[in-house]
Amino acid sequence: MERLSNYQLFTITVLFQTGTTVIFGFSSAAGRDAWISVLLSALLGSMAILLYLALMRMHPGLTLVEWYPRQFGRWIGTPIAWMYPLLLIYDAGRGLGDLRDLIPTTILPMTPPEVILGIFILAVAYVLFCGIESLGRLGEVWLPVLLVALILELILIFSSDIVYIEKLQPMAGQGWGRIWNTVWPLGITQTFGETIGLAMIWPLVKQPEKIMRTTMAATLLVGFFIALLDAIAIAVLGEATFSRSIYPLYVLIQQIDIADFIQNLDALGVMYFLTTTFFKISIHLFGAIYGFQKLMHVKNNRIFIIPIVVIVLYLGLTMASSVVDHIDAGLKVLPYNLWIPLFLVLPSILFMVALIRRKWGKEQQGDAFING
Amino acid sequence: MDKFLYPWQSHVMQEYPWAMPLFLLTVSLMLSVVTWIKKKK
Repeated sequence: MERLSNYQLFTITVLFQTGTTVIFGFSSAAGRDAWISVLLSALLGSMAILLYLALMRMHPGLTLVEWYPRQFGRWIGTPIAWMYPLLLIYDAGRGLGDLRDLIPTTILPMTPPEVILGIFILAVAYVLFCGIESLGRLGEVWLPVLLVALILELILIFSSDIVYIEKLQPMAGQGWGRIWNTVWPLGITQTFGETIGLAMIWPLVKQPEKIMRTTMAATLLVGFFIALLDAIAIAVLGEATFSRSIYPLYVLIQQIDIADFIQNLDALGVMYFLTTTFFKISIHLFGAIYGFQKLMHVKNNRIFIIPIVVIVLYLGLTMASSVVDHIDAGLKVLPYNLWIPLFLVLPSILFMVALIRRKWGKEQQGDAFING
Repeated sequence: MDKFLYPWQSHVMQEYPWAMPLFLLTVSLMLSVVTWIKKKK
């Protein structure tokens, strides 16, 4: 059986949560207060993650898809459990859809999306065949590279004399309503709510007692990292450009210009967007495939890799006719019709049922002990 | 009507937000039958 170390879980969590979020500029609708919105989302999203971690502790050794049949029984629990692998497949398709728009508009304008996404998904399929341990080791290598790239990017931006901190002021100048609208429901469910997918790999971690600490540390780091990127993007681009750009962080990297010599680093930026998206899609698909294995009671999960990868490629290619359509569905519909019910409502009900059954079970045990 | 065959598409999701959850539930129920049959064996 494959196992993950805690450091591997940390790197996987950071790369998964960073995912496609950095491409579109998290909470850009909050304008110059986007960074406050990110911090609030991270704080409230951490509460949702604590709920998932509490559920994991209540069901030791079980994956997300086994929690529901355990508490609700097989007739109600199984259909609910099946919704998660299907949602993970859909979310992976959305991630691929993000790239379908990003790559042709940035670095490869003449290459057909079928070729870009086809090659990308082949790499994902390969890592899925290699297994979660290989993905963990890849994460161990990639996270330091990503952090170095980020630090280098920050140094270059500050060296370009384009940062104007006053563009961040006044803080919450248009009231907290605008900030709250980006925090709930999108800010909490996107990235942080999606972490429920990691509940598929938590039972594979070598030291389960450290999962909570590791996951929370990774979540807070990601919250800080995205808030910092947003704050710098606003300080460089200003509120109007930041809010109107489809890819504000890509535009931010384009601004780097040191002595007319170090410039045009946007391709490097796209490379690290690609890396984090690769991890996000791979983990989504690992969770989906592992979920299929558990629910179909088969020994080898590799039989699901090719069919699921083909479905995800099809979803990615056909999901939206334009980038505006794609973003609108993600911002205005998806959080309400799928993410709130599956990331917040059902886990909360499950938690209450598990708590009541636990207490009731203990009381019954106590009664039996007294009577017996 | 053929729109409902592709509920994951963004324009269908925006027009009929309930179509995708309903689709997921239907597929989940169909796949659950496999689970129930395999568990029985």
